[in-house]
Amino acid sequence: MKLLSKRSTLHARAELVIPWLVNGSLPAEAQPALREHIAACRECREDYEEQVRVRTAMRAEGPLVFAAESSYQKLFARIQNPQAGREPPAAEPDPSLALHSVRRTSPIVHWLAAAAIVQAFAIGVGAWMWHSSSAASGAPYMTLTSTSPSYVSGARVRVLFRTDLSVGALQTLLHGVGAHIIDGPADGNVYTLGFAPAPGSSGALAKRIATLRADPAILFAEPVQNGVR
Amino acid sequence: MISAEQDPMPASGRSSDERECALLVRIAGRDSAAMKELYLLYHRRLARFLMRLTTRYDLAEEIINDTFWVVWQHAGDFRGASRVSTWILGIAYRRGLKTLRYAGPPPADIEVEAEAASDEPARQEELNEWLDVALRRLPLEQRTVIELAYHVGHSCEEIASIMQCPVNTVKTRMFHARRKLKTLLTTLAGPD
Ligand SMILES: [Zn+2]
Repeated sequence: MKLLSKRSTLHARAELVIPWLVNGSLPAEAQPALREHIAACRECREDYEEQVRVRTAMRAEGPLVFAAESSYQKLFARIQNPQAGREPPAAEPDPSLALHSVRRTSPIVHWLAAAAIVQAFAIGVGAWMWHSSSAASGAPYMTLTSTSPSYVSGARVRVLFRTDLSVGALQTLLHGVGAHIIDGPADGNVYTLGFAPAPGSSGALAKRIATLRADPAILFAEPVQNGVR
Repeated sequence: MISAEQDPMPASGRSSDERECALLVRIAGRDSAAMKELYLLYHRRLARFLMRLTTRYDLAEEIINDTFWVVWQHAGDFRGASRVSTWILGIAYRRGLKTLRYAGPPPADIEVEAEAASDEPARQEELNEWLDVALRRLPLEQRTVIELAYHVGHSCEEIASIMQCPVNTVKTRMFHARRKLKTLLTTLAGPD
């Protein structure tokens, strides 16, 4: 009877602290009795094994693509000029930017690099992306333009679009800055844009990049260094 | 802002914590290079944590920058009562909750089509596939605890410090999170 109650006390305790045994943060002195119980208790053993699997899955994140540098630049601008007006927090939640499941398709999928986007959960501001565990390698892709742009070289910009962008809206957007998609997706749905006609100066390029960045449908836009795709 | 709660520090985390403390000292002295170093060190971790917390990609960057804005302003207040990571994640957690309040309720849950898999996937693989969907359906506090424990690797006490709640509350949230997750994963992935 006494033995039984000791066991049930240990069982109740194990139920609560197994996660911290699994993540290695449980104090060493608390571990032996707990491990002994888990070895002897089928329910706790199964729970422990399940938690090991969950932790493994949570730590095995796919490539998380993000633009830490450009996010920092925004913060740095704020540090340098604390008085500058800040954008108010978003008033309305935007469901299109919620975490999409891998099975969810978005309007752009049909013609924008279908395979690569489906395997990604979503695209986000700052270009964070969460991939499913499935491999993206070898995913076929196609570019947006059926007519080939008139330039062959020149300034290029890497961009990330929102997944819910419609075909028409994307065409309008690209046309507005004289841009075409010339490559992509790469590095997690990042597309390379070229311009036709090419901007005549670095100032003109900067202006187009600023226009792209100002568009809510563009999650990031960065110039590509010469010679680098 | 600074937690005075007990915050045991595993030996493994000590050297990185010392380095981060040194960065905070420089940041308190208005050293923007140190600020950038700490920011880049934490960006990925916070992005991941905040997306798990908020399930909102559109909010994460704003919260990260708000968090580091607080770090920039209050680095000099840090007394070392906790690990630097506990302090920063605590700020991020509170900024995240605040931003969520402004942003309104999370978007409606996206229906998941349960497609029949052509092949029977391995158990771990199946778990990887459904875990994000299942986690999104947990209450925010439970999701946060499980993320902090399993992805970030924080102890019970550290999580209590980050979430500013009793240690037992953390244990209870984790207990319910695991139970609910198990049910969700069984439902989502279908019977074996
Ligand atoms: Zn047991």
